[in-house]
Amino acid sequence: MSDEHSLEEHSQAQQSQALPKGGVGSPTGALAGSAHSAGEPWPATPPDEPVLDAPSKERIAELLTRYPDRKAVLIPALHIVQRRCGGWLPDYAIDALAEHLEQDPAEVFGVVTFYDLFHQKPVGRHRIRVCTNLSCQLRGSAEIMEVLAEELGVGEDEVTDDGRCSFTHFECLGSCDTAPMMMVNDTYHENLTPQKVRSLVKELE
Amino acid sequence: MAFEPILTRNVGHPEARTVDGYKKRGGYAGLAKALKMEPGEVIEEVKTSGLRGRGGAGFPAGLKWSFVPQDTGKEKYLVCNADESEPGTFKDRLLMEHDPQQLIEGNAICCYAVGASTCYIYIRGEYTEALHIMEEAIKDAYDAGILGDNVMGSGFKLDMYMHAGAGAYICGEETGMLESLEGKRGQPRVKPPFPAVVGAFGSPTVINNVETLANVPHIMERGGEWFAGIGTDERNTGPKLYAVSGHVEHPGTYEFPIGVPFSELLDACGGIWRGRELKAYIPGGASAAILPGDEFYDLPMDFDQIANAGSMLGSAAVMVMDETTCMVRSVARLAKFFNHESCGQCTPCREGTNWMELLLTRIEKGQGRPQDASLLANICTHVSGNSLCALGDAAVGPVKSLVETYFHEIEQHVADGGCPYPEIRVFSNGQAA
Repeated sequence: MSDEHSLEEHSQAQQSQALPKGGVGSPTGALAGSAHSAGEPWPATPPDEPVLDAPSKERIAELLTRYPDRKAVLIPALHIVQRRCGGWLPDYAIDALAEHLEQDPAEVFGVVTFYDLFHQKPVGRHRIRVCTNLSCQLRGSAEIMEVLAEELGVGEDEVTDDGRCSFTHFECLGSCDTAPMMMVNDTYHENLTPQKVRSLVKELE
Repeated sequence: MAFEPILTRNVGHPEARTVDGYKKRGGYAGLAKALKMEPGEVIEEVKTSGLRGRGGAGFPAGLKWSFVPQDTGKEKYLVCNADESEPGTFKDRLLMEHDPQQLIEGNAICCYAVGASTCYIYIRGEYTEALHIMEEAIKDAYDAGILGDNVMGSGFKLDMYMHAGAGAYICGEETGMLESLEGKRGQPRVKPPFPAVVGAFGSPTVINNVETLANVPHIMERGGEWFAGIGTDERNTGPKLYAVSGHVEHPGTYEFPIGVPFSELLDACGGIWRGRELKAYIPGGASAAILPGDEFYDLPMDFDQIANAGSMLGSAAVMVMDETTCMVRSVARLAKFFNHESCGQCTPCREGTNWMELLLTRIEKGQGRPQDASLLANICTHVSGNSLCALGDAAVGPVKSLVETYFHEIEQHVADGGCPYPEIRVFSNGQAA
């Protein structure tokens, strides 16, 4: 292979690859036109609209072709429903999905309660997850949590009065080289400082 | 010492995310070569390479593949483990975001070798960026005839799908992952039967980590002998990604031949941050025992030498701690993690991880009792080896090393009625990290 790097160059090359805000997908347009482009707030479903609209049913039908067992579609389908419902899963939405998939509602509830990314209480239009595991703790994640509480005027897992934001601590998000970091909706925000967090929060509509 | 990057050679070359760009940089030569060989020969080549699993357990990959029975008449599956939830680990995310075709190629070679015609890449739900990049890359691979009914014109049929999890560390455990893939709570299964015989949907299944599979195209292209020539000995071969985080100047993913001494790795990261001294490091993620920095400064970072030092290479997530770090607070955080992530199925793990967190939090707050250290040690013996999967043992790793190596810090917390290490205020002086 022709491109020999010295170790030092290589390390620097790696370092310069620390993933920027918005990740590496944006330049290639990988996210363009995506149903859930990173960083956008998710729409809340108006109560009079069915939980599963035609495009959601179509998407689930397509996913069903991937597995030899219908049950396997449950977690991907729950992601679809949660997005439709403004980032959380009201009981009626879980029931509706169970019915659509012909699964026992109790089993579906059991799956929902097992996973951290499924919520059974309302969340903000913007959901902030702060990594507080060891690598981030060592680089100041506790201060990031304090700044968020101060800036938003609510405690952890509470929603601001205007429904705009909620924040929570989270286990390792796999971005330890850019600690401290947090996730706002689908986007990683890295190498945080209190100043950076304050201006980020102000920008959220 | 110059080391030519192998797994990360396409990092910084975004064009390699498409089949065309990847091929221009030498990609898909390994798959083309494999498709001209007998499946059994491919497995032999991987055995020759000595490649061991990069997800944590270090099981020889070729041997794992050879366990898949060929005479059951059932479908066979490859489940690529992209759950990467071990605290401190971020190497697989880099591989997927920067070189998705390399992973697709590795997966395809594995599927051909074991006779699987479906591959699921189980990715953690938080990795939205990596998920989108992988989906785009898979779509491109279908369009280019790398995937589908006729892989590279060979007649071999292969489908590949991304499957996103929903936030649970236990789903990185192979049978927890299979349960989750099947749409259930991710609670590990009783073994045996092992997944190679009864895996996904009751069928023979290979489960390999992203980095393990990313090595495979290079083994096929350049030969198992070449691969076995990299590293410390015949049990520790090939290139390795080290994910370094914590108190170093330049945290990041670094590729070295497996077995690089810790001191060399630390140098590559610019040393300890803020001109401070090294106190300790964790060589292999949250489940690994903490090693004191002075005693193990030159430790070669391979499977066996780290095991001999009383810890483990695990996923090679190296967490570095400087002299100001409180070991009790650090381990208390890891204990909180394991308590949260225990699936609750086995009593020793469910209860033990809870008590570890409670005791360590109490000690850190200065409310510990003199007998708490021995109580912690006692809990460790009752959790270790007493649960279906390795999570219980993982939780014990850091706690046991705290009690054994940093007993004096626990004593000091209890005697002082508080933490002797003031909480690190990283930003309090206005200085950005």
